[in-house]
Amino acid sequence: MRDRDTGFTDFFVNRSDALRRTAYLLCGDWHRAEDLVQTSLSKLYLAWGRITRHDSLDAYARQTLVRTFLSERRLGWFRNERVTDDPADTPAPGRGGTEDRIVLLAALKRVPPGQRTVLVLRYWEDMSVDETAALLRCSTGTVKSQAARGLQTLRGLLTDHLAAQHPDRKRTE
Amino acid sequence: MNEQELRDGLRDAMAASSPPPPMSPTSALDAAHRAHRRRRARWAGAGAAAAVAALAAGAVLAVNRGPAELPIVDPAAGAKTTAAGKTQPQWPDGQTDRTARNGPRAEKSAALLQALTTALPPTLGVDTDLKYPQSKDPVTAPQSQYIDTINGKQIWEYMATAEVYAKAAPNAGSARLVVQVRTPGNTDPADPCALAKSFWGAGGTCVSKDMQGKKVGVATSTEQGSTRQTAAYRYSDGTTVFASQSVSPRNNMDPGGGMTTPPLTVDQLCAFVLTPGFQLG
Repeated sequence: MRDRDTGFTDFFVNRSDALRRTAYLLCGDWHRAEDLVQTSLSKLYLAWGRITRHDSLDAYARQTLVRTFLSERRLGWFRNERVTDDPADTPAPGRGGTEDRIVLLAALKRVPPGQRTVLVLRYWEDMSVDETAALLRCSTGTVKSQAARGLQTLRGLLTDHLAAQHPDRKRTE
Repeated sequence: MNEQELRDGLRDAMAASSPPPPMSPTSALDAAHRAHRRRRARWAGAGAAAAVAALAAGAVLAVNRGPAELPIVDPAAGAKTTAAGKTQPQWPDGQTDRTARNGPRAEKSAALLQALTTALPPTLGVDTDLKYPQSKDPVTAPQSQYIDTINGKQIWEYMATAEVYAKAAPNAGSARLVVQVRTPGNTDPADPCALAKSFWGAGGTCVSKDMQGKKVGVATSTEQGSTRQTAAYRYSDGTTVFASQSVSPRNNMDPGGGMTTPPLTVDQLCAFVLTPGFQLG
């Protein structure tokens, strides 16, 4: 038990911040991101002996995090998540580059969760199509189509935002 | 925004964000200990219940049946599933995931793609060279994937995707045509319209059409700004077939390059879904 506690604490200190950032991109809320990380790492602790023998802790933690996020959504957490034009938990608006970043995070939060998960794994975690498909237990074709649709949705949301901010600006392809 | 811009944008956004203070490892360890204790308590409870049930069953068998009638159970059969201790589904035939990339299952979707190509009207051609953006994977391709095992029967889904263009105007854009087949025993709806609307969760509006004496559901929906039409038919043996077309090429990855009208008319799509070669058992 002591070895497990020591290993768990080391892993937590080194990796919890990165996991929390991934969780934040998935759920768009720092408080819920912390809950997701806590739940995922508790599951990791329970499976510690098996994983340290057979698998990478980091990969297992990431996989558990994503599955916890998706399953909580299926079990009812999604009721706390509504697609809205005005996400509540965003930093105060700024100017220039800061505003672009805020807009991107707000737009990402409005992408449907399944597509958002694929976008985060592919473009934040830099996972390959095969790795993403294995983690999500789906085909590579599904990953590609979800990524494409997610990008398309994001692109549409950002275009709409720009059009709203600059109605006089001519839209270009 | 393309993939690289999104990648850069996410990194910039997270670098500039202000996360709350770091989480406490002590609190996390306490929570993990609580989860561990909860699980041990659950297992202890389940074990006690199983022991009581086994004692009761043993007593009943000892009273009612002779020793020769006791069922002989292969201990390895149960152990095989419990020893693995895995929560992930077991893929059939030694597969490492849902998709069959070779073998008889993979050959079925290849045959489906061949049947799709053969059944196209002579005015349409198939572009086998077009790739997904930033990928080596062609759009025109087959895919076989395991769905589930229901009542001991494996349910499979075979899909063929073809990038088609009008031969009379090969430079006027291309569109995507998908045929998807699910084997008997699936849980797809029986109603033609419910079936058609269930394709990829597209929904939309639906009409039921009579074609060759059969009821075919045709759903029309809007997907990422473009129209998708899906015809669906369920055979009496339970095989379900979907034929779906969208004017957007390359799985909607490109905003341009699509056909202005769908490659098939609604009547052609209805006849197309009934192509005998699509009924893969």
